[in-house]
Amino acid sequence: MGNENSSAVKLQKTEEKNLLDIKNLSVTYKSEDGLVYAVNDLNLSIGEQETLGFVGETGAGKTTTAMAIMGLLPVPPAKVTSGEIYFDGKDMLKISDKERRSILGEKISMIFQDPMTSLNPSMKVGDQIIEMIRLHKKVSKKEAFEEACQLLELVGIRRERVNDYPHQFSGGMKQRVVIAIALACRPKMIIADEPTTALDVTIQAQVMNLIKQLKEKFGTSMILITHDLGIVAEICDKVAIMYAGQVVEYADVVKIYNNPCHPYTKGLFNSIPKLDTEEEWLEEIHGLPPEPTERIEGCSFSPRCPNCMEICKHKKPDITYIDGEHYTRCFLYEKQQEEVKDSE
Amino acid sequence: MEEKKSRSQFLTVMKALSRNKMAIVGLIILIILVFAGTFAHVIAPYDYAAQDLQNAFQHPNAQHLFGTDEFGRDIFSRIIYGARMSLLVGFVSVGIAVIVGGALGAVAGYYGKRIDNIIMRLMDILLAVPQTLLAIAIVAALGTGLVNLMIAVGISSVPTYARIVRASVLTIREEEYIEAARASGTSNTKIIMKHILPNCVAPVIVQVTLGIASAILTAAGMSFIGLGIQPPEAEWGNMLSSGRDYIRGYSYMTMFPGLAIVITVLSLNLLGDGLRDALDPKLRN
Amino acid sequence: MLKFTLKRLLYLILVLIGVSFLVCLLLYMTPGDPVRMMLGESSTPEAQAELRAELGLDDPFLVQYGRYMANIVFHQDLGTSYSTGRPVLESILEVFPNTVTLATASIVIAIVLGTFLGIISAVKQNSLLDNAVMVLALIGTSAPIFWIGILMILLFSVQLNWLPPSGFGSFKQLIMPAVALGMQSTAVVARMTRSSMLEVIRQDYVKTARAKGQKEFVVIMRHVFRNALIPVITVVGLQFGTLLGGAMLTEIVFSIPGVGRLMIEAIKQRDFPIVQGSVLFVAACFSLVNLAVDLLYAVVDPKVSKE
Repeated sequence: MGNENSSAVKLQKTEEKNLLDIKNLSVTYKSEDGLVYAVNDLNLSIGEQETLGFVGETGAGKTTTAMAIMGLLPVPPAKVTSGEIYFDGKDMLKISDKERRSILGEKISMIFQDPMTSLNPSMKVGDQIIEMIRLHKKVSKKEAFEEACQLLELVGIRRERVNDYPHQFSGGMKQRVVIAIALACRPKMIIADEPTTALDVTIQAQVMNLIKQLKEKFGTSMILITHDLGIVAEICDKVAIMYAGQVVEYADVVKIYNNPCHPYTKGLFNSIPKLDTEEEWLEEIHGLPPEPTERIEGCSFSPRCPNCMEICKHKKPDITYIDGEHYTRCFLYEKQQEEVKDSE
Repeated sequence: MEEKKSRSQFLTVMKALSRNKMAIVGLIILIILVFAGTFAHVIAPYDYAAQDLQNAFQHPNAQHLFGTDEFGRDIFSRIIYGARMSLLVGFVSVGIAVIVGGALGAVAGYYGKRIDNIIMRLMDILLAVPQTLLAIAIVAALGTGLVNLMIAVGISSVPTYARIVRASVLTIREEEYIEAARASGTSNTKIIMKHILPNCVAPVIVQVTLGIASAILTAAGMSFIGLGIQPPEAEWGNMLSSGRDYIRGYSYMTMFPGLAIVITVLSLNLLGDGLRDALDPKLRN
Repeated sequence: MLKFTLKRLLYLILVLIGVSFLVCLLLYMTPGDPVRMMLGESSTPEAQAELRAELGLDDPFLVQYGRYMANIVFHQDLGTSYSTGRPVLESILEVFPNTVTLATASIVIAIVLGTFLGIISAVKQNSLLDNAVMVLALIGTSAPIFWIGILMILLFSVQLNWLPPSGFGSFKQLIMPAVALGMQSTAVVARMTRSSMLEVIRQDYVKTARAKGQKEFVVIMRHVFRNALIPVITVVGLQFGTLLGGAMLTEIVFSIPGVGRLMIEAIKQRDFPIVQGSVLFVAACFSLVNLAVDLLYAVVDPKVSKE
């Protein structure tokens, strides 16, 4: 398939230089019930023009990771306890506020989940786009206004609506405005946090297509946070499966669909209905994700894992490379483990 | 079933309240004040009205903890009797307001349409006059004194409760269990009394606590300007008013009644704030 | 917008007619005979009856009320004071500017200081500063205006001799009454601003603004404060009523010739036309302010103006 080829080409290109590299990121939150371990030792990277699907259950730490990249975690209660986030060669955790502000919007921008609440209700949509433009470009008000109109047209909204307020738009239209804002400065990377979850099912595909189209047009990288594996298959190059604050499997989209390794990934795939087979029941992953305040001694998936072994309950699995970049955190694939199995 | 639910709700609220230190402080102070007011005749070392001109203008000392006033009356005793007066005015006037306002609000909200329109327009008329002014105007007509003061302060806060209860009733009216009660032929009065009003309790309790605080302030203010409780009755507002004339040299005469008002009102405000936070599910999490 | 304003104005007039009816009825039912007060206890019953007839006090209530309203509408006449014999409106207008100056100065203090304290409290939530401001605000809402006034006189006039304890006219004479009267409203506005800001600060659009790379100060002012304003405006509007009521007490404490003092003295002298006129006049001002507040919503909240 052409898709496989193109991503393979990209893979080689991106191995030289990643746009974003997250190394051993850990984030905790202070809450009334104790310390919440939101992100634990997370490793992730994304290349230029790549789209990464960031998949996992609610509370797995996807949004926290995104906010950590943006440097917008509420501190306190949140705290980055370890790790580095390199974006474009700079560690986002170490740069000054001023420098970070010059990167936000200009190089990374974010699309939030709920368009109903992500626009300022007391500001004209045009002004909200203009705010972004004038923050990062030295242009006159008039030029910025013209640009805002063009951006609106780009996302499929008539330019006359530039002076309307958010409450005069429907949900899908609002999300288009949000996209226009996010793309206003042609950023290198967009983080889209479940951009279609809050929308009507009929609108979801339209908005997703628009995002896909525009990111291709501008050559933007994207982290797409979602729990919809269908969307991932459609538009992502890479996939990171997140469980309890950790990436448990990371691979090329084709590889992960053809050869899911981690039991959690397998469970996820089994829980989507397939059109080609007739199943009465969908398989489910038994149990619930761990309470974020408890620290599991071994692998955090072990209490729910159908393949749980003794070692899983006591030790945390390390990254095991399966094939090229494809990695998983599971003892089933650790070398020693395989050797032990072989010798039996 | 329903009783169980309301009981567990009560416990949740109490638990949330007990976690709020400020509210507990307010509650404790309030209990002490109520106790002091109730047993004023036992606690107070002197009669609040007993004049002793030989010992007038005594600064605070061992015999007179808070000193004596221009007639030699013991200020400490007068403060304690004043607690009785202030709390009485606060509770009774808010009681009047809750009963009258609550009834009007419930009827307006439940029946809607023309009755609602008439009642709420009437409330608008009352609301067009600032509360203190309205109370003053009523006292102007009724005359001064404890009972008239309570009526005046009470009536002037009727619209507040009418609005709160009406708003709650409007949201509750559409609930399915009300429909069910209506469908099974329960009378309107019974529905209002048994189903609707108990569900308005939360916002009303909060408002009552804060309302008593503001009623005490209003009442003290009216006594201060001579339109409330008249001397020789011991009331904090009128004590302040007479103490004001002796501010040069005898400032303790204005200090203690003022502090008494602040502490009382503060305790009610702390409790009210705590109750609101405990009862508002939006803020609970 | 114009239609909305006109509709509200019409309703306001209806409400004020209601107020006038209520006040007149209240004072009509009041025991005590103003004529006896005016002529003195020793006056002859004939003289009393004559004056009573002259004032129209023997007429049925509705006739009296109708005459009162007709005089207001056709002659801008609120009646004549029993005690001074001067037109009521003239007496009120003479002292009204003082009350307005006092209330305006106080509301300005409340708005400026209250929102400022509220904003820092919200931005520095749970900090020492926040806690200090909130404790002060709580005490501010609990302290009676007249006591604060007395304490200020004690400190600034008696002890330090910095400010005059009474009178009205100079800026120096305005400071203490305005601060005393404004303190409670300042506290209320600060608390409201803080809680409203905290509500808004959690919203996604604030994150959107930060994600744009906007400066935190601009985020707070443009995106948070502006949207937090609506409940604050409501509170300020309501505070104006409290202020008008409180102004009466302040006028007494600082011996300021204002509408409040005029009215309280009139009550003590059973000078009903003055009482009636003052209540009506203050209610009219209060209602107009409320109307202005409602119109202000439209400016702040685009949702209102389009409806």
